Amino acid sequence: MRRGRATLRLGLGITGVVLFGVLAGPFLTPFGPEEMDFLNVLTPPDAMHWLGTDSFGRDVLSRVLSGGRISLFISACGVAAGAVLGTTIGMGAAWRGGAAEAGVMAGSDLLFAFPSFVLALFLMVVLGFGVQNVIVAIALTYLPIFARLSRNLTRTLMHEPFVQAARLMGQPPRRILLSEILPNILSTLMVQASIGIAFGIVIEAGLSFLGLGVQPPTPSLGVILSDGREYFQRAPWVLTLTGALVSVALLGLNLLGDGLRDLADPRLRRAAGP
Amino acid sequence: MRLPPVLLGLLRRTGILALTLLAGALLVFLAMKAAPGDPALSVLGENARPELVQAFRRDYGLDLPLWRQFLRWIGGALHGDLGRTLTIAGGVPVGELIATRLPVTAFVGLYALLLAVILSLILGTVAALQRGRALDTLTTSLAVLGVSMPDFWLGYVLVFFLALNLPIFPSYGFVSPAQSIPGALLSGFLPALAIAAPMAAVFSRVLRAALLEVLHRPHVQAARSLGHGEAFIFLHAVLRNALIPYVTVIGLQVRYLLGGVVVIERVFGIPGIGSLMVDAAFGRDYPLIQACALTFLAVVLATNLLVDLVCTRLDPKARA
Amino acid sequence: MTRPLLEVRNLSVGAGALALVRGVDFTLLPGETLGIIGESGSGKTITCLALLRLLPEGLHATADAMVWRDRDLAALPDRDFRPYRGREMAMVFQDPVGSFNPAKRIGWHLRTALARRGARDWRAEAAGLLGSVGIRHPEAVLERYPHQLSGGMLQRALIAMVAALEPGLIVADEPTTNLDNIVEQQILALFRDLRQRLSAAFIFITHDIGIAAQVSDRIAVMYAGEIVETGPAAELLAAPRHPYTRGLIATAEALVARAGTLAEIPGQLPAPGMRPEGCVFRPRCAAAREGCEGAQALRSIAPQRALRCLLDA
Repeated sequence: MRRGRATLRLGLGITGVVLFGVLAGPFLTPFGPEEMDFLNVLTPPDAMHWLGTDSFGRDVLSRVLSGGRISLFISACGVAAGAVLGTTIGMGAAWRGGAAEAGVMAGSDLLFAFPSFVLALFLMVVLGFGVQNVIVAIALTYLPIFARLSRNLTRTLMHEPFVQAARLMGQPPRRILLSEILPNILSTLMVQASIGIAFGIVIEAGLSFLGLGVQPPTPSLGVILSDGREYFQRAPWVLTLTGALVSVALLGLNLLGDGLRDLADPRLRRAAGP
Repeated sequence: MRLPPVLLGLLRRTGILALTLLAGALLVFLAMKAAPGDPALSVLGENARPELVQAFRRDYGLDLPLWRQFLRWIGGALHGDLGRTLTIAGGVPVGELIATRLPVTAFVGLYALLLAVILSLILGTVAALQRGRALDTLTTSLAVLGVSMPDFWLGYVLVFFLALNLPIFPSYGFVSPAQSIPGALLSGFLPALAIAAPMAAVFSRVLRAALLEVLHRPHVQAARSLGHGEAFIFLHAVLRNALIPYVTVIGLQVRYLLGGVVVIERVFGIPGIGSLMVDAAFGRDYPLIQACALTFLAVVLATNLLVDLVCTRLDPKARA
Repeated sequence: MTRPLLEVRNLSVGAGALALVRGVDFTLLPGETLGIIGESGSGKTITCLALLRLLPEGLHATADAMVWRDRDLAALPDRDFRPYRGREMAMVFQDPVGSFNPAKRIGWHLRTALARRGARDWRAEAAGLLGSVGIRHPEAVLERYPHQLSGGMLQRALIAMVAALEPGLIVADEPTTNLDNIVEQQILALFRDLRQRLSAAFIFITHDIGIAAQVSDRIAVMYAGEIVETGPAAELLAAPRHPYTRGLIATAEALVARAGTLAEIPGQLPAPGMRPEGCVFRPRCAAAREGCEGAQALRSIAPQRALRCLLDA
């Protein structure tokens, strides 16, 4: 238990710093993310440019903070959309039961069978490149995960006395699901969401890295990493340090998710499965 | 004639796999059809002459009703004919292209899986046996860190620190096993490691948890009371029973493995299905993208089936 | 006068500073059955676990001497103790289901047990052992997994496994508690048979006085981590000297006689940290008097009989 608290605190701490950095950072750094300075191209990290400059002379740190905000935004939107849709579907399926539930879960499992990147690539072709479609790709990646999770949890809780009581009192299903069941599964869903946002950032970074997601010059983490790859031999710090910062941010999110999970109700944890 | 239950189970599972694959194919097909834009125009250009567009449509069967197009596609697929590419590699048969690329991805994927399993067996066991002590905290932290790193970034860092400084690992390019096994093992090591690291992280945590859970079961103490040695007990009583959740998680991670392959292949210039699909995405090559998506789906489903069978084999209670 | 098989002097088990079992002394002759009776929490199981060095993490044991076949094993490092486990002293646990590895067949269990003895043609021997414990179709059972057998059958198979090792001492920890009465008697018969075949000594742990009476040559009564009385079974049960033993037997007799009211020992067994100074039983003893607040030693009051009480002094 002590270990769980420490993990949670560390996760909260790192995530807090990261959030502060990406939200307030762009206003605090002396350089804009798109400010070019052709006199100081590809300079290594120094007192003025903490992470050095890129091939256009742009301050890498400013770009990372700005890009981090965009990546975080994209990932959070995608995960939120996937969570809302998936939870709705999952809870509804659990409540209905029978063939409808089986059918919905089969569909969700089919979607889940496509690896995230493959799904994302496919969607990029179908819907076109760009930010909105990255969000859609992330949402569809997480929809099945939240559907299955919420369905399992709802199935367990459906038979609890307090739900039966609400049913007997004649409350409509939607109210029961929203006000009785949802608050109880929310914590588990949040854990999944925080881990999801972390991986969502990886998906976005990967897509933008390949050139399919956010288009330059708008910075996103993937775009910066992609730039860094082009001049990796000459200036390895851009790619290396950017990725290191991303890893730290993700570490914070993962620790946060872990810490929350350690505190979560063990009964719900068991229902959530491996 | 009554078939043995094992065979029946296998048949049933294969049947479900085939149905799922069919459903997936339908999904892919419909999604592709829903895409905006006309493939004929995107290949021939906006201002192409109408006769050329008509001819194109006829060639690719785009003038047929949807369900006929779907059946045509499926029928062809069963014969290994998935059509020809639109924009990539000048109209070669898609089936051939995938057939040449798939083994490469399979090699890298299996290599990565092997590395991940070896790493996690070591890390997970150490963490479980040293529970609560320094080594445990260290390996667990490594595991969380491993999950937090974007694998393509890790690939580059590995290249930077290993390939550029130690000449044994090439930083780019891939040698196929058909040409040279040592070459394939060396050139595939860094990409495989990049994919393996996050997976190893997840596997070690699961193994550690599973081992700790089994360590407290009474049959472990019973084995000790019979005077068996600690190594024997660990192998047969502890690890053997922890394998079931461990293998299950390995199965779940195959999705992630195949996703990671896509980007890593691009980074390292490996001519596999992943980089093929990326090329197809850029080139808006519809037949190729459809076939690639379907191939990935088939691999995932087949792997799930395999893991299912292995788990059934491992757990005597499930064999009934 | 035969030399004792096992001699234990001043065995104590503690968890950190908390003493769980204190000052246990007993002697065991070859082929003898010692019955240890007491309530749950009296320390019976922990004492025997300490004997075989199977204590869970966090518990440690000390003893002035633990002499097995004239060798003092008390100072032996754990690693060197392993050969003694199973081959010299073995333990049959309360729950037979939990004693088997769920992923391995019964045949594997017997084969690995026989391997410790260096037995060759294991299959024939294993089948023979299973047959000797009353399992029909032993060859078929060898191919079964633990979850496919009933509790009673698993208990028999467990006894077969222990018999395969041919130990000199078998500790049975409440082996019949989970079984119904008919099976219970069958299993006890098996133990008797085993004792005869192997000429093994037994330590039989139970909270059921009836069972103890059936199987034991001598009985030791444990209360709150201490042995409070020992003696030959018939004698101790007919004429108990310690107030706790008297209370136990009175309760058992009332149950058998279906008396209208049950004779009851008022109060509760104290938890390890809550034991009173002096005689541990004092708070519940009807015969407590001055002098009982002092420490009570286990005194020999007759050949073969020991008592930790100042009554009859």
